[in-house]
Amino acid sequence: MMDSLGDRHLMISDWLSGHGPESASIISSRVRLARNIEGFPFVSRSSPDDLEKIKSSIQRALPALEGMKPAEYVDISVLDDTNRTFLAERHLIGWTSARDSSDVAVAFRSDEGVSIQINEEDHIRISSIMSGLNLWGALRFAREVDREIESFNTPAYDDRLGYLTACPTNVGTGMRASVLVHLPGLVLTREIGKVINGVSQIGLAVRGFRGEGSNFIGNLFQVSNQTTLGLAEEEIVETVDRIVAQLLQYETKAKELLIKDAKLQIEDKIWRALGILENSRLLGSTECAALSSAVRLGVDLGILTEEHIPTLNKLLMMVQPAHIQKRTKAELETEERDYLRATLVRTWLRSMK
Amino acid sequence: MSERQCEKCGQRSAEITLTDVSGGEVHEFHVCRSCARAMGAYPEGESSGFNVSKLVADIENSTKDDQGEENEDVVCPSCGMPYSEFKDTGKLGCSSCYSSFSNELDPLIRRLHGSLTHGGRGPGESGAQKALQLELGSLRTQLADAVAKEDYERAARIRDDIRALKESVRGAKDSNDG
Repeated sequence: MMDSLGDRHLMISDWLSGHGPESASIISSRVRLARNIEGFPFVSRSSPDDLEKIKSSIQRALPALEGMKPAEYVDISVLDDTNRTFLAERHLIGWTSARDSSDVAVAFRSDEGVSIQINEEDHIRISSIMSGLNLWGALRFAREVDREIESFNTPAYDDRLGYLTACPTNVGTGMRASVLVHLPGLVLTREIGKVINGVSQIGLAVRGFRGEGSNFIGNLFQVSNQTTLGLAEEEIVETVDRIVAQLLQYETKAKELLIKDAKLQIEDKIWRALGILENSRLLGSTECAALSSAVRLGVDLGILTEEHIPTLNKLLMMVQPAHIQKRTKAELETEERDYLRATLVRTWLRSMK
Repeated sequence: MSERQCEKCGQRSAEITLTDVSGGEVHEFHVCRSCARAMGAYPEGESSGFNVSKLVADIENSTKDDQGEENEDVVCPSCGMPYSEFKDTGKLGCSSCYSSFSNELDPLIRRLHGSLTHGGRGPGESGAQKALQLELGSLRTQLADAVAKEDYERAARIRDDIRALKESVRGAKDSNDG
């Protein structure tokens, strides 16, 4: 079943196209809605039979969901480890599902802008990811699919508490609005700790690129709401939007400071990073993320052209371990992967010239 | 060995070392569990945005009187899950658990969200009108910003977005009872 995902590992998800608003600093915006189907226990207490029924009910409804067209459906239980990791690297399933849980399935619009995770923590999780700063667009698409699914399955809903979720942290709207933002200036000026602290004090969460529990790699930060109950979806989007705009202002100030105090050092760092990416023969994924961040900073400062952004976004996704593994039949050792990664990055950067 | 203090809050003791690799440099933060979570890193085994089990324990400690005897475990009649299991896993068994455990859960939910009343849309409600209006507002702000920065290419793109959105507002009005 290795081929059920076809040549998807050679394609970039639409949300990484780099064409959305504020694309130099903001990679993507995502809205996720957690839903459960009335009449079934939540996933952790559902029987295998129930979970199978939930999967097939979504699979049956899929062709009728306008917001998902053209849709793909993948049952995780038929996938090997590489393909599961691959889906997690593309943010189509969670990392926990990649490791185990054979009851999970995922349906997604072919461009990966909208997806439905089935039987993860909740029966249904609808996600919409847009390029750049565009939470409103993401809300619109997620909502459309949500409404369509509701016409097939009655959601677990309470007049007082709203949508009922497996974990009370998501009850109410069931919504998480998150923005993936690149903040190298704040990291270099060592202001980032203070900023993260401030953001968490006003009730937002800051996570790494790979989501929950991940390290901060490549100076990328995911900012999202913690509170899901008591506010309207629009108010949540407005809050996250407003905080992200503020973060960008701090980031701009930090960059101005860097240019004022250490212009030559910063330029040197950017050009060296580009030099290594263009010439290395062995490139680890963490190193690649760090160097990409420096090059992205170069675009932001106007030292390098915006044409680099789509390539840099490609580096975020398409040189991750499972993506590289899928390019070849043989099982790769780390060093072989690092070699392949270096080769791909060199080729992509050179083809821009 | 003297106890190291958390570098973030300076109050609790630093139990965790976070390593942040960025821009080719390695920074180490020595922080407490709570600040580690706030920074987006979670100690091994804590899978959720924060530790629900710990919050449950905190709330119980703060409400229990000193003599507090062991409460009897409540069981959800609908799915059969005992409340003690929720305390361990942070996950509820079914939608009825919310009413079965409401005595225990409501204080927790209030602590989590600062509210006990849903403020968003419900099943069958479109909610679309409000969102479209707000999105229009946000686009107009972006347009003003682009014009102020004399980025006319971006301004033109935003103007097209506004036009497209207005079309869909009209479409929604036609097909919706409102």
